[in-house]
Amino acid sequence: MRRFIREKFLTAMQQDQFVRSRFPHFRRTTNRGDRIKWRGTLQPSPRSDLYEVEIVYEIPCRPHIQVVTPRLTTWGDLKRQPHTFRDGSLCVHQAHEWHGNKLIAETIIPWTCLWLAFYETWLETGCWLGEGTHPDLPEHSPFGEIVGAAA
Amino acid sequence: MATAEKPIWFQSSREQLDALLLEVCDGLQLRPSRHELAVERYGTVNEILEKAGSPFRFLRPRIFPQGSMALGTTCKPVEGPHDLDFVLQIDAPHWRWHPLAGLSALYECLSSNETYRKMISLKNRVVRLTYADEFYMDILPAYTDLSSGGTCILVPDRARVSLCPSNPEGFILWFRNRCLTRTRRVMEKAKPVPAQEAVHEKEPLQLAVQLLKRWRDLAFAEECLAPISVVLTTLAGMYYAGEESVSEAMTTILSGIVNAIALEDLQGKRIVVRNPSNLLEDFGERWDANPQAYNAFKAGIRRLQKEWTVIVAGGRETDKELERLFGEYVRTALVKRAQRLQEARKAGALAVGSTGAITGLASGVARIRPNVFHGDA
Repeated sequence: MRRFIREKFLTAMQQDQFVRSRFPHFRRTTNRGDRIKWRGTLQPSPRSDLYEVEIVYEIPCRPHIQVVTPRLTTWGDLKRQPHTFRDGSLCVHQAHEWHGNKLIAETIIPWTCLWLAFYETWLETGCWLGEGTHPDLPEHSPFGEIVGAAA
Repeated sequence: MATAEKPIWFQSSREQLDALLLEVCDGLQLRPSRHELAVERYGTVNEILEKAGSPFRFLRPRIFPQGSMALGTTCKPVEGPHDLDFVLQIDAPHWRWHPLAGLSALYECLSSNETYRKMISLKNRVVRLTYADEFYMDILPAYTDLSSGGTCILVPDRARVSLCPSNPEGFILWFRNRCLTRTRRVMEKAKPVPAQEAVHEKEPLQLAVQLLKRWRDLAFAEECLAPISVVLTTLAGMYYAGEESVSEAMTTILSGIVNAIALEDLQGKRIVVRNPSNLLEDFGERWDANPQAYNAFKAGIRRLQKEWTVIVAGGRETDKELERLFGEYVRTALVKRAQRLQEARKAGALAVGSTGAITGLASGVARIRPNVFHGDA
């Protein structure tokens, strides 16, 4: 019986309403009904960089998060940032943690802010302190020398 | 050390920079256990000087800390041990003895002790005890200066074979008074401060002195060119204007020093760093014999002021600059802050404001739901 019940997703308009009311620095750049795109700025702390972020959401797929400016850089000789996809977009959650019935304004954007905050520390220290999956990857190095020194 | 709630989120860039500097100073200062050990050890020295057979026994010896330990401005050296300075003051008419008699008597008294025999050495003004566990204790024998009165003392100088005026207790009182912030200057009178405060209890001036000393230790590779601690402490105390924020205190102090140098340069002179508790003493007199050191100080402090202006006006990108100026403690402070952020995240205590600023839970901000960062393997 369950397979005949259609899954309900929030509409692009509903998502847009919450994104722009919670984060006034975000503006919608595209809305084609089932595909919506926002651009906005985020600053995780007063001394942080001001990041311009683009979020593309195609209902009900995983929202695609890209930092537009400043260009993300890496620590030391590492090739990429922790918890990103090959195209450089951010991976701020596991698949089961997000669903089309959840508000992007309450999940994706706050998680992006956290990612940016941990990214900034990583950029200075080489230690990713926000934990996550694949802790054995070199760029995730959560147990570097400095962490031991600080503990 | 007492613990204090360390902030994770901030209202302003200045507040965030101050929190970072506070943590840097926490790394720089003498650990509480080491401080207790030093206090215990100078207590033991005092007992030896007072016991039967000591030449100081009937001269009412009094040993007390001076310098960074008494001022609350200890700064871990880049290499080598901490130096801790103490005064051994005796109430005796100095004119009865040779100027260096006190220094020799102290050296002989401690040398006769089995424990100190291997640790002792004689310096220009002090007897040094080098402890294996990373600090040495410099003991300065001094006579009460009966003619100047107050807390003035006379200290021996082997190079000059004479006694020189000094007033370390007066200097401590002056510095403690200068430490008062604008608000506290109005609110209360100076009161005794415990010898070793936790870093969050320290005054902005004490923190600024720690930072200046750390900058000196890293910026001057050649020790003979580096300004001495008392010069930096006095200049900081002179130009501090009661700011509540350590970063603002640094700005004011640096601009005060740089302006004073410029004024003296116009007349072709060097700045005079008078001991505020004994105006006859000029802490900068070493510069007369070593003009190269004064030029290095001028160039260094001007450069620091420029760099500081950039740091205060800038953001995260200047953390590298901070690290270059104050060393690895900056990196450690950033790691500690991120660790606290992660703990608060796990406790579900974080929210995000409309600009993307991470804050604590409050009305009007969206609580951050649990998530696990992922990505391609």
